[in-house]
Amino acid sequence: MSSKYDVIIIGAGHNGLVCASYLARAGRSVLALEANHRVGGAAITREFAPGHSVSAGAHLLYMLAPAVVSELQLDRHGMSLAATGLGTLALSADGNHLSLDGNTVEGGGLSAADRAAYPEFMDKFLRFAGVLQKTFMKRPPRLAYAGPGELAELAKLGLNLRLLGRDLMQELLRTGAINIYDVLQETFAGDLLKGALGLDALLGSNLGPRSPGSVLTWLYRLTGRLQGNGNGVSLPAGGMGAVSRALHNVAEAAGAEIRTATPVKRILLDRDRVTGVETAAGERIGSGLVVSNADPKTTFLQLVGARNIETGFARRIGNIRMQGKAAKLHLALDGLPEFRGLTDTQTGQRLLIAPSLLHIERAFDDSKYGRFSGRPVMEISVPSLRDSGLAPEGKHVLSAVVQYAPFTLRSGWETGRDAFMELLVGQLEDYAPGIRGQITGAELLIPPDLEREFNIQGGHWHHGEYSLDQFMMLRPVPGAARYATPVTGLYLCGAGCHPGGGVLGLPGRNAANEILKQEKTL
Amino acid sequence: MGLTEGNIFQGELTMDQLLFNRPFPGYAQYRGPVKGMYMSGSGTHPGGGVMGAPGANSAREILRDLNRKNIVPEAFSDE
Repeated sequence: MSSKYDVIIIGAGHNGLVCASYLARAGRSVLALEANHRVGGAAITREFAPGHSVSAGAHLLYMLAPAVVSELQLDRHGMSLAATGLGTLALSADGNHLSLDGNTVEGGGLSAADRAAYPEFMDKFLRFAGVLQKTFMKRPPRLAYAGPGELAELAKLGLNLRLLGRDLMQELLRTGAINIYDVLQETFAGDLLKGALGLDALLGSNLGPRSPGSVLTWLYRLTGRLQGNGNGVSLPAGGMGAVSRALHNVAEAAGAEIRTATPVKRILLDRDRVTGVETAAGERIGSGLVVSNADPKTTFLQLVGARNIETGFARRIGNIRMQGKAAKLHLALDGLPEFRGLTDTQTGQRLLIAPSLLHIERAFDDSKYGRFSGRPVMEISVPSLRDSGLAPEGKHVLSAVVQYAPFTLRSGWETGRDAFMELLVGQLEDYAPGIRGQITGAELLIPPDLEREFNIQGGHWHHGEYSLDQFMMLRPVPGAARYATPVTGLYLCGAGCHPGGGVLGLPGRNAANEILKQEKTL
Repeated sequence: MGLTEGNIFQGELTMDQLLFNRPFPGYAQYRGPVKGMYMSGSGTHPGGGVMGAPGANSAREILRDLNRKNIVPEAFSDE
């Protein structure tokens, strides 16, 4: 076999790059292999129409861990923010929009009772999110065998729960496993407010407001408020690809070697031990340590091969729920879209179309039966307002997460794609009259596109649904939840691991820590 | 039959209404919010169905509060 490296990382997504950076800084010789022509995985900026670029996957930065930013000094390696602290506007077709900013809420015809209840409600759920967030920087505790150290980890989790105080702990235990619909119905009357909070709980997931576990996904999202370096929802200058480029610079500066356009075909094994990887071009590269940034299904069922792992484990991997239902819409526009009732500054904020929980539930219902939503929900950003490099002067780009688009459309995506695009533009036209005439270029990425383009099976942006049965010590599956896997020398470092998806960087950081710790005991 | 909203379990058997949350947090041990008031129906732990366990559990708690001997078996016995 050709050259030897201490570690080979499969996939240079943001987590792969984070992991590569930490390992290279710890003195390991690291080779990262990326299938695509550029690094970043789903955190990239891409020109989709001449002169018009957009963050092709994740489009808003709100969860990136402060530890990763400061330890890797991302700002010194090229990351800067074009906008921070973006507020949220829940759009109403009549132009009476609801504005959410931190713990205050205004407009949207909201009742005084709702407005008064909002800060207390947010404060309570932010405290719950804090309990979750305290687990982010470490490997999850192990349930099966608990030595004294592991018992202490579990006890700490319990203590953090107890420290909420009796009433809040009771409330977390009551609400943690139920659905966002019931929780919001208990507290608020305003449809626009409930729709906005509900959508935040559901973005990127395969859940509707009444699906169990949708409070957990909301808490996960809220951790961003506690993580974000005080920056809140931000736009990286140059799009999300600039964050990946900064990580690439950090990794290279630390001595890691990164090769793009080099897909890995399989992980090489000697019985149950890793010996290296084989690229699609047939090159074999040796290493006793392989870290996969790919999702768990790709890692185990494709790269390792189901026949090389124990049947029960293979079945668990096969059963991971990871069908994406979020699509991405990109529009190149001849000018700034004019949303009814919004100032230009407001257009640069995060815009939501989710007028009520019932609207979201019906949009979800369609997707359950293999149809795209007849009346979809959207999270919209017009990043070119704050970052002029993304479009030629006077022109703009619009990026939207759109739900719900089933992975398999019953009528087939060959014809469905254009129909869905038409429907989305029609919906935007209701809120921004005239936008149809401004469109000079358009692109719709449906889950099968996300699967193909980003090599994520199922096209789910978290590499697996974030749910009670797939989180913490159960993520991605029991037996591989602490980054090490049943295959000796093979580790995971992607969003499919604890703490999970989003541009966060912690799976990569935690995996690197775990690898360095394990090496000491070898 | 006096079942509010017609739910045969006197409350949905969901994560937020089970165990220490049944019938609602803070009152899961059969004692009601008023001194001397107890609950023993399907709305309490462990829940609905023709089972008898909520009644047995609540009788045990009442006997304890009255400082009387516990004559309610702690577990099911099939022997």
